[in-house]
Amino acid sequence: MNNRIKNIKVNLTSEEFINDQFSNSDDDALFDNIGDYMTGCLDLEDIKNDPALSATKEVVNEMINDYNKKLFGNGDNEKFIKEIFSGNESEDKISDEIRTIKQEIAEKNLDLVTSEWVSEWQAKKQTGNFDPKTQEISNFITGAINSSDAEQAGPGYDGLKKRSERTIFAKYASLSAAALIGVFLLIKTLLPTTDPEKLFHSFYKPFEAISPVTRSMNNSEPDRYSSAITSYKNGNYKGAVAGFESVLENDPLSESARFLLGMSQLALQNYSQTIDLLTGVANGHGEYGKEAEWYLGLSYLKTGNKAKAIDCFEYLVKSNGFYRERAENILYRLK
Amino acid sequence: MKEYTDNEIIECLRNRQSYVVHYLSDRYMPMIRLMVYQKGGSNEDARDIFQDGLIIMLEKLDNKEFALTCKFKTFLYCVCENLWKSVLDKRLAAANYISRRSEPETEKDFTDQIDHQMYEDIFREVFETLDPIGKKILTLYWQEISPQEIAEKLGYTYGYVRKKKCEAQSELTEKVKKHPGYMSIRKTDIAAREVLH
Repeated sequence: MNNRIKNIKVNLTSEEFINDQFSNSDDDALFDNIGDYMTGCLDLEDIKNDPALSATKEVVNEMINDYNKKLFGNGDNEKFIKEIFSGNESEDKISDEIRTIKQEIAEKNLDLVTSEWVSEWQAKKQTGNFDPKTQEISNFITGAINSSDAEQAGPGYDGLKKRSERTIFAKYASLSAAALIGVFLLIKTLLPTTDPEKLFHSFYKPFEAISPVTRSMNNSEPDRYSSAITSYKNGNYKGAVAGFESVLENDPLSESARFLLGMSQLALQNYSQTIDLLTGVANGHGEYGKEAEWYLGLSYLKTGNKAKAIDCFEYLVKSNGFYRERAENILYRLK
Repeated sequence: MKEYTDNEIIECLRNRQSYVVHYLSDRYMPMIRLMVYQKGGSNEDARDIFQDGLIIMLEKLDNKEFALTCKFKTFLYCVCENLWKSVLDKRLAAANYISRRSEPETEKDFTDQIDHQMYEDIFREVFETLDPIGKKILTLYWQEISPQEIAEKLGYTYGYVRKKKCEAQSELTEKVKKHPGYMSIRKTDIAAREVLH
């Protein structure tokens, strides 16, 4: 814990948090990203709880209709906003490029390598003894910069300066653009679309939050139930199916066993059995009601029943909880 | 960053003070970006929507009789969300038009959304593992509340709030960096850069 605190420079004389920076700029950037996301989340939550939201949406609806029909439009306003943003954009691009470069420096320990080079160079400079090769390089660089300065003094300096700035920017931009293209190529095969089948694969993850104990179990079932859960966690879904079916024979009202049997059948791609099982759990609105609704929606997507899938996700959107945002996300692609 | 009240924002916009636009961009772009990502858009889409949203609001705010009946950010959110929906409708109509003409359907690039969804899941998951006090302090920090106000609100000393915020900030960052999902995304980025070089 103390080591972690040492990594952050704290200015206790300041009234603001603003000086709490990491000594590593990579960590600073990561914390900023996390902060951006969390700020966005908190704002969205605040807005959704604003009692004036519905009334505002109605007013705004009309405004947007007018805007789309071009019933109003002040060119000066547009110019005012766009000029500010075009300035922001170039600064943001440069900041992003610098951030990418700093990340690469941190990942490859380039600081260590380059600081050694700098130390060697400084040692040579202090002694004033350059070897012939170093002298030749020094003369070349100095000569090139001096001739560039001479050109800058003449007309066309602005063009040269802008050209060299653009060249530097283009180099940094091409580094990050190339990295981005590489990432796109690598993950392209995993991209989902609005196609229901592909949406299923994009959003489906096996259910993991399993407790080995459930309140609804009677005393005779813990061993069979625990064993079935162990099978499920180990990916032995056939074993899990057999285990949960056995539990249900003796305790047909066990919602958790029914739900997990549904999850096991889903993992085995037995979608019609999954739908039968999860429908019962979802309709019961018990402990696993929302989970059942979510996976039922995904199962309907997989079997091509888009309308029923939409019903499930709409239900989740209306209720609070973990699946609400995911349901909103998936609904926008389905509708 | 100085917080402006809703009335100050409106007055500055009416007087075309560009610094307030910078403020709005810094303060509210994360929320609009998140909304656009969640509804299938990209970073560029978010910027465009934010700009257009401000233009639309400025048209209305210029009318001195206009009275804000909700929080400014609620108004901004509604405008941007509505705008984004109309963009999506137009894109869908265009996609349907193209498919009716039997041209090959171009796959939409969901890379941005997948990456952002993965990062968001990781950030949220790790944040939930922090101790309750750290979480509270960071939440208030992200709402731009000063350390003094946080201390008064939570009944702690100023020094404790500063210390606790640093601990939570450091723990959050370290845990995210060590998260297998995050490490896997970073590995992919590094591998991609090496392939390209």
